[in-house]
Amino acid sequence: MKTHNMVLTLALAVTSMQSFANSGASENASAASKHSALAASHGTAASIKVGSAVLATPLIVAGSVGQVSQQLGTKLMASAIDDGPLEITEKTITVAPSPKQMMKTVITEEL
Amino acid sequence: MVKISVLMLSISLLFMQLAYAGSTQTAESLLPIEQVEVFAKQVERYAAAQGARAFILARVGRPESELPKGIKFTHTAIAVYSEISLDSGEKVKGYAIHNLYQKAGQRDKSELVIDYPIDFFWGVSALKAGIIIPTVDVQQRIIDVIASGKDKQIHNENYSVIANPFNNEFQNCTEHTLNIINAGIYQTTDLTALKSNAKQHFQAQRVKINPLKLMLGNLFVDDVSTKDHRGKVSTTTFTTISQYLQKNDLLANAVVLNSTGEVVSL
Repeated sequence: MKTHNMVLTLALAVTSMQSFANSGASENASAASKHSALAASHGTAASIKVGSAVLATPLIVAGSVGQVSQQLGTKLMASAIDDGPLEITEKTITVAPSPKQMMKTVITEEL
Repeated sequence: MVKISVLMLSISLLFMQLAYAGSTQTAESLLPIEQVEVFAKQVERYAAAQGARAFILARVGRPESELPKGIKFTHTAIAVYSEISLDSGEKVKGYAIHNLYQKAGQRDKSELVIDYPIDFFWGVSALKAGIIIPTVDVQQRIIDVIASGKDKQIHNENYSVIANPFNNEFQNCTEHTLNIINAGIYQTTDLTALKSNAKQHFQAQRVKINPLKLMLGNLFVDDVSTKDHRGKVSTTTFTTISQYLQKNDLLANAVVLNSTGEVVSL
């Protein structure tokens, strides 16, 4: 009986702690819900303040050391390496939700 | 009854310690969205002001009181200065973050995911960023590895939160980051060579958790494994990466940035 109780207790603990350890894991339409939350946060200015990224191309500096090539899928920057702070967009950029994630959001809202 | 309560409490503490990290894309923001947005942009601007083309970035995904000794951050990735194409057709400049994340619903497997500062800090428990800026040469080598797709060649999807950096049996986000750095430094994607070089020159962080707890974690927690360790458990951390670069004169700057804008040395 003692062994049975111990096994049952362990099983219950593992089950409950598994969900605790898994907290934060993305299961559903995280990108879509995040985008919605950001859009709601900015209201009518959302289209100006928030951007959905579809591609990111690393920028390299012309004349930088090493065998850097445009064939690597990079893009040459116009500015030199010591030309002051790098330009950063004012927009909040987030990953664009996939079609699958968007449809999950739509289905949930319709229910 | 008392014994059962003590057992449950012990097991709770065990999993709390072992669940300290894990690299995930989080669905819910724990902090006000506006604060996360402002902070994420602060991090970008700080790195941009330093002229960083590529840097190592870390976040705190759990309350610091829950982190094991010697571990300050729960997820590490590489930020690369990029031209970002938006779905509107516009092109902007900012940092794209190259992550190793656990797969949703399959925590013992990982995938490489690109996201952006707001995504990276979305579910953090504290607005605090670890920033390691390597020397310009190393930055360029890191960009080469990522832009050429070599980061994918050195990715192992078998995930363990306490992966041993000296073999390729399992991999976590910090080990993958170290692999990318070393692939750039040594100009190779040969994992045997990368691991050999790491053994000789990299000092991992000893993870001090009770052996019984580790054994139970190995049995019951998907993303915890001790199978790749021979003897004491040690793993790659954000701080040990910084120390590695500093020791080899490859570090330009290593700081912690918090939400008040305060910048302190790592």
